[in-house]
Amino acid sequence: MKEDKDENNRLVLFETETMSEEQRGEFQSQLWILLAQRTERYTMGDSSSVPVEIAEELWKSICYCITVCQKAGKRSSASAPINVKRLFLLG
Amino acid sequence: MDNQFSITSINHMLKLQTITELRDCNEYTQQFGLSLTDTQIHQLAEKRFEALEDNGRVEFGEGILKKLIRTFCDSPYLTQINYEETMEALQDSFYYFKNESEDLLSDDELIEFMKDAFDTVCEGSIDYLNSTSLEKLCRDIRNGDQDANEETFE
Repeated sequence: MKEDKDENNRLVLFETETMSEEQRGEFQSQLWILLAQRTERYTMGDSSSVPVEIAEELWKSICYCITVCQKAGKRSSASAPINVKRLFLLG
Repeated sequence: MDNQFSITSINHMLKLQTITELRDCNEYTQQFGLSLTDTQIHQLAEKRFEALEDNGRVEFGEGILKKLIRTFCDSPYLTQINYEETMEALQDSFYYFKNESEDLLSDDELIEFMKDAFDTVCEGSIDYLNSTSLEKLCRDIRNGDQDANEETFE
């Protein structure tokens, strides 16, 4: 199970290897914003911070969903603008 | 979390955001005779990340400092001399007791309790706040006392 999660992490990161520096930065900031949104949803807006363990679980869930989307071949073409949230929702 | 993503640059962005927020807070707190110098602002922003790391927490968006400052600035026990030092200690306590309460208290509830205790039984003492009031609150919360945070100190 742990290996699966690590693999998801690697696949999401693999996505960034084929990107330009600019796209990579955009991808990272979108991932960060998405994590912030998921965290806000998790705490129902009650808390601005969460324990690291919770953030890690949320991070893994994002990676999992994006990986599912990638595996299903639903990723957009290389020239299309990156939309991490869309990848996550499709996943 | 995976370190391959540039956490440093994100932290830098968050730090800049914190600094801007604290500068904005100065306008509000001046009516209470309190303000932070640029050096103090940078130091507090730095301490925010240290406190989060020490307490094993991750924070997004605006930090808790802004809320703490806006809540505590009208305290009779806060002066220009102890302002920065107190805010730094309150920030540390906040994250520590957030963990101790097992996240069962919302930010607003915890801050409200801290302010009530600070201005009444603690008489402005952070040590008293940490070692008695907040300890008791978190113990009660963990023991399932739902009304623990509604206790007042009148």
